[in-house]
Amino acid sequence: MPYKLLMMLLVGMLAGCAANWVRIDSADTQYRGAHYHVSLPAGWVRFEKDDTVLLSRDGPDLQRILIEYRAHDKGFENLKRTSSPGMLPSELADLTIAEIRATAEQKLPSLEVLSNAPVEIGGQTGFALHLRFKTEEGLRMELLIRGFVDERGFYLLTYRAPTLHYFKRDRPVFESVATSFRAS
Amino acid sequence: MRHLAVLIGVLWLAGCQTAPIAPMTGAQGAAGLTAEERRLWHSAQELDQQMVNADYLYEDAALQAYVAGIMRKLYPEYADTIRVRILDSPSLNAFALPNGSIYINTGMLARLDNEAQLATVLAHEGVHFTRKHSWQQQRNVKSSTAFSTGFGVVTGIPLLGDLVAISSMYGFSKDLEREADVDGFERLRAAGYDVSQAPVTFEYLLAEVDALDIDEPYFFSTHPRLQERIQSFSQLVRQSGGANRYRGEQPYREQLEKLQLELLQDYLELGQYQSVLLILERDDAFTRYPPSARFYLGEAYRLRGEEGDSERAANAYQAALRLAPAFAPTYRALGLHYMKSDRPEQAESFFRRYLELRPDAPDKGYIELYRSSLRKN
Amino acid sequence: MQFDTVRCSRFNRLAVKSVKRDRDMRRDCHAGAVWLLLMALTVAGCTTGPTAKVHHSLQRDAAARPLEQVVLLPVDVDVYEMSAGGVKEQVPEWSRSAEDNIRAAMLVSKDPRGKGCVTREVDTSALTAEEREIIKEHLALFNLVANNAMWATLPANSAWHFKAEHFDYTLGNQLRFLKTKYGIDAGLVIVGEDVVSSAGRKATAVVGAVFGVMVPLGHSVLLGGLVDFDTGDLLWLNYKVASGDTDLRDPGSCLALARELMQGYPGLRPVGDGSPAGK
Repeated sequence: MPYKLLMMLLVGMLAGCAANWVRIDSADTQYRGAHYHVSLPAGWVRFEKDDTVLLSRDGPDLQRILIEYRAHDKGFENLKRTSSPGMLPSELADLTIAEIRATAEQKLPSLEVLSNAPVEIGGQTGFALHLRFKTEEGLRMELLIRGFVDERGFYLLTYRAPTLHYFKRDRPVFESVATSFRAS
Repeated sequence: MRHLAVLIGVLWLAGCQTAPIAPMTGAQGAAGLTAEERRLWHSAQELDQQMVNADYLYEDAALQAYVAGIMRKLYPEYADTIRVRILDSPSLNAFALPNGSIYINTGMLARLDNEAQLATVLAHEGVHFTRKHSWQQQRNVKSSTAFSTGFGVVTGIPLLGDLVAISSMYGFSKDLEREADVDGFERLRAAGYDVSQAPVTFEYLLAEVDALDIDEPYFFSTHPRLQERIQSFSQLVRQSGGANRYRGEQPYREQLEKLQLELLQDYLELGQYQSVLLILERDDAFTRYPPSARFYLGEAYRLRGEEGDSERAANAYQAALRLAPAFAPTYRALGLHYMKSDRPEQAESFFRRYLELRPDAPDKGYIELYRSSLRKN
Repeated sequence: MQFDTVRCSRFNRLAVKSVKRDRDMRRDCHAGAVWLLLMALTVAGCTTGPTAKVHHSLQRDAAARPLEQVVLLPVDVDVYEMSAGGVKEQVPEWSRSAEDNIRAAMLVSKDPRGKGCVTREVDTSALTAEEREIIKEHLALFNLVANNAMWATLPANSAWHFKAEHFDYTLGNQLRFLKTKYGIDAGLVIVGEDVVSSAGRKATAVVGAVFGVMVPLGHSVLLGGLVDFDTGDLLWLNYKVASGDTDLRDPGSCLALARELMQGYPGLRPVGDGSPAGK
């Protein structure tokens, strides 16, 4: 879903659908959706749709933070698999990696798992992934992905940026967003 | 109005290049090509570099040399022009570029049984290069779209879609594919391979495609195209008399052993447990895979999760444990199995042993979390 | 399995293993920027008005970044021929001609002080292999940054207009070695694409016009960016799109488009206005 959403956003923007993007002016801005709430970083720009929030500072194809809620029956749509409340965090992590690779060009053979460990997210036990891959132009990209499940669904927070300069620079913003995350 | 459209189309086609395309010669590089042919060559060079940039190539010098050696046997006079490269991708695919680069996916390599079957695929793809099929197809498309453009312009019927893009996924025209079969078959025979393996190659691939319900758009994954190859090669074998000759089963298996195991792991990481089951549920699976592969069978059952699969998985893990007691992942798998079966003591025992065998396991954090949870309960 | 020739127009990366290392480095990185930019401009219909973006530090103080040595990084322009049916093929000889024309256009540019201009083309033969790889990856990053910078500053994206007012895009400081080790202050990046209609395509358009059907002909696109090697800041970014009348294979036509592109370039006068350099 994230990829389709992003393409829709880009195309929508190109067609002039500017109204969906909103700048976050205040440091106290929160997103309060049907399934979670989270603090939003001042100075960034947000796009919201269907309890999914996309954040970017310089442009969503450069760096992006994506916060999603997925009902269990849509847990891993590209794999045609569901998530469930009883799934172990390691299983969620493995399926998340599988889903990323399944949708990528040539199944993304350059994907490296830099770290994969359990983490607490808003009081829930989940997984934290740090991944890296190369684009077809040879540009290294890194991802941080945090996720967990509860009775209602699957929650995912993803940060993606080029390794050069951007990933390290904007990582603290993602960590701050992730720390503020709470399932509602 | 329609007459006018036809006239315009005929005039355009008359102006199009109709000279026959000379096949590649062995020593010919880009220098011997026409200006138009050089364009595709140039684009092919770019795609080659893209594969390198994105780390798409499978790095194994010995396997690379083995596959390249087969290609040299088939096309000795093109030794300096044709370059075979292995793509690190589990998809069922192989393709030839107009500059002599021939790619075969690790997924394709792992699905074949012997050297003769690999040679069948390589021989077929090689003809697409030597007979300049890309250029022929490109020229045909440009002519046909020019005609259709004219027709559409005059009559208001929308223009046809991009035939090149579509056909690149589903293969060349039937005539060109048939030419690749015929010429490739002769190459196979001249190199001393058992030609009876040619239709078997595609029967085997077809069985895979059907069993796995593969819906990828690549040529080697489409049922109709594979069926055509089977019919075409079966006819060629009948006409040839099909003397049994070299198959190269043993060297093929030796060369592919490491890749085949890696691919099992790759399939699991992609969630493609069906592929693992198809490979490891064969009667002869464990004559071709090491005992530790039973772990992957167990994982495939676990991921499939159908009724009875939990027990099947456990049985496979236990078999792996007996036959390959030093293979650490089996202990982790059993630890998780017993944890989910509410048997904490067995789970703890297996988790502990896993970390003893692999103290720096990348998933150590999870295992410690689960052990902690078991202790609390 | 057939090679997808049309798909290749989106991935115009060349890294032919040749002695031309400069081109090797640049080539890998081009397609994304130009393709996405062109799509953006076409769909948004946004080609009027000023398009140049200047770093916020230079908006406050035009002399804030004294540049002594500015190299022209390997130019990357792809020229295609479009057939009557709309099939695009890249023509390497035409691409090389267009690049030669762009290089010539850029190298004649002078600023009124004779300084802070493009002094020469980059010579990567002096670089180590590792340094060339660093530059290559930064050029790929440039494409991504340029894409996003152009997208964010499109007039329709009102929520993103602060990026135009405070233009602060950067590639990061890992190119600093070019300044400290080689004494180069900044680099000019030029990428472009030119689609030339074949005779058949033009004939189609003529017939189409008779029947009121629009058949798209070619276009020319140039995108330029000036990168401060010390900080990685994008000091200037601009693009120009022209219709099928422009032909980058023609030196005069190319020079005209390049002159339009370089408007707003920090410190430069338009090319060929006869003013003496360095005075």
